[in-house]
Amino acid sequence: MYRNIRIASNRGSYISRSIISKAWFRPLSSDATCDKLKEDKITEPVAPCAKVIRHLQFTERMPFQEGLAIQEKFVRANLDMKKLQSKIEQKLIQLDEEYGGMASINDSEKQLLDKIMEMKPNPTVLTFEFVPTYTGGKRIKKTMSKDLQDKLENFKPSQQVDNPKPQFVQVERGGEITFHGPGQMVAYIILDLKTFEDFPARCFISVIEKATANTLKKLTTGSNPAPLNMSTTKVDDKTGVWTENGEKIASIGVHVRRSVTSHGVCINVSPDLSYLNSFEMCGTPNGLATSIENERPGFNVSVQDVSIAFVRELAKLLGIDTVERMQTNGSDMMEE
Amino acid sequence: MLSVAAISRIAVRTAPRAAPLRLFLRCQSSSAVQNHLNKDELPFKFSAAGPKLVKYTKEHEWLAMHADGTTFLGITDYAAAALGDATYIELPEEGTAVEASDSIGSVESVKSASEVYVPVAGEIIEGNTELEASPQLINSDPMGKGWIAKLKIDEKANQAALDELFSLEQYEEFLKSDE
Repeated sequence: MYRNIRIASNRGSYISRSIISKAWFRPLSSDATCDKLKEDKITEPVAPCAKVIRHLQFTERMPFQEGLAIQEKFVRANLDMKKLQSKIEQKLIQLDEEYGGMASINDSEKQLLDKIMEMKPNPTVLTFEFVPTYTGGKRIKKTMSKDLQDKLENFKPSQQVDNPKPQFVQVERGGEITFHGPGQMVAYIILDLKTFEDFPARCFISVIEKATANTLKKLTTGSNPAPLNMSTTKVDDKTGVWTENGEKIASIGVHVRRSVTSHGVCINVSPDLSYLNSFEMCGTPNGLATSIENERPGFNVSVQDVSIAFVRELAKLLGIDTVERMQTNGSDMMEE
Repeated sequence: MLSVAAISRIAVRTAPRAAPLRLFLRCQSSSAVQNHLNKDELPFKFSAAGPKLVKYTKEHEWLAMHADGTTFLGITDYAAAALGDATYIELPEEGTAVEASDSIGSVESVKSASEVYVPVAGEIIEGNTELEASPQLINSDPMGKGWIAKLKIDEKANQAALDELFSLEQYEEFLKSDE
């Protein structure tokens, strides 16, 4: 069931909000683990704020640093909220100790605390398409050389020849070097692992991998109702999503701060693969990257379509049945 | 996670509410692991008398402070099990001054890098360079050989912060209610 509400914002940019809800909800079995990947749902929300997932869909291509800055705002909101909750908790325990277990708070105080708790951010997915950028994870910090950086920043792709020159940016996610650019769907997932049931970081990674695999199976385009039905696989114990030929179609890297996640996944929809295949990416010396376009030349799907499908699959695995989507061109996010 | 219902409960009771017993899960296990220091390894054996204080944080870090202020820091058994096989450890640099709540490094497993925080202020003496060649020590002996950082702290200056941390019993109680 889709509901489309178009709201014109004061600044003239166009915000469209659609709420997708799924009627059917399957109860979780008592020993669910992240290895139970055959199930539709790997975990479920244990906090009210986690019952809705927000998809902030950036429809215009943008610089990587802007996306990073926007992500940081969302992470900060989560971390600040945790700090506040921790302070409240401690104060209540302190009160309790002082009054020997006889303390109580009055109605208006309780209402205020309830309101504060409700302000905790929902799990949020930011989806982007970036200008050409090579990013380095934590593992590359010590081994990165000026020489390699120069090579990356002066790389000329074979197809998208009119692209601006790439930039190299160091980030705090796990992993090594990867590439983000036109034709790739980058999804940053910001959520508090503790607001889900039995959900440590490695289960979160499995969920991202599974959501990507499901997206590549079920993806449809407007013109062709038949799904993409791409089969994907894992290679050894490595993190990521590969085609059955062992070529990488999506890379994953996540950062966790006090159970709050950031970064996420990059799916190759229709990038210029020379960016990825001319250097060692993700720490795999002989690995090759591929894309949806490369695997299925006729299947014309946009980065935006993939972003919508991905968030839907992610929500299902997280046990969330409401996705709130907002589209923005990004201009109103940077005005502050 | 402090639930709305818990707020009113905390106001009338001190004891944390008992969580229902869970089956052993591959994703995380609290009752099957031991979260105490390994008595055969450096963080414990550093001084003849053993550590003066052993404390735990909500983010699953442990601290072992010796009488002279030398303190070892690492992540608990519980945290190591939840992370999975560690593949890369980011260590702090010698001489770095740290404040309480600073990040002093990270543990990466399956491309997920989790920050490790220090709950007190002090100065880093060294990171455990053995973890560079053998990150798996974090999983095999997180409360012994897999210590992450050694720092010098002033007990008096950090008294308030130290008092807020969990003892082993409090930490294990916290683990039960955190599920």
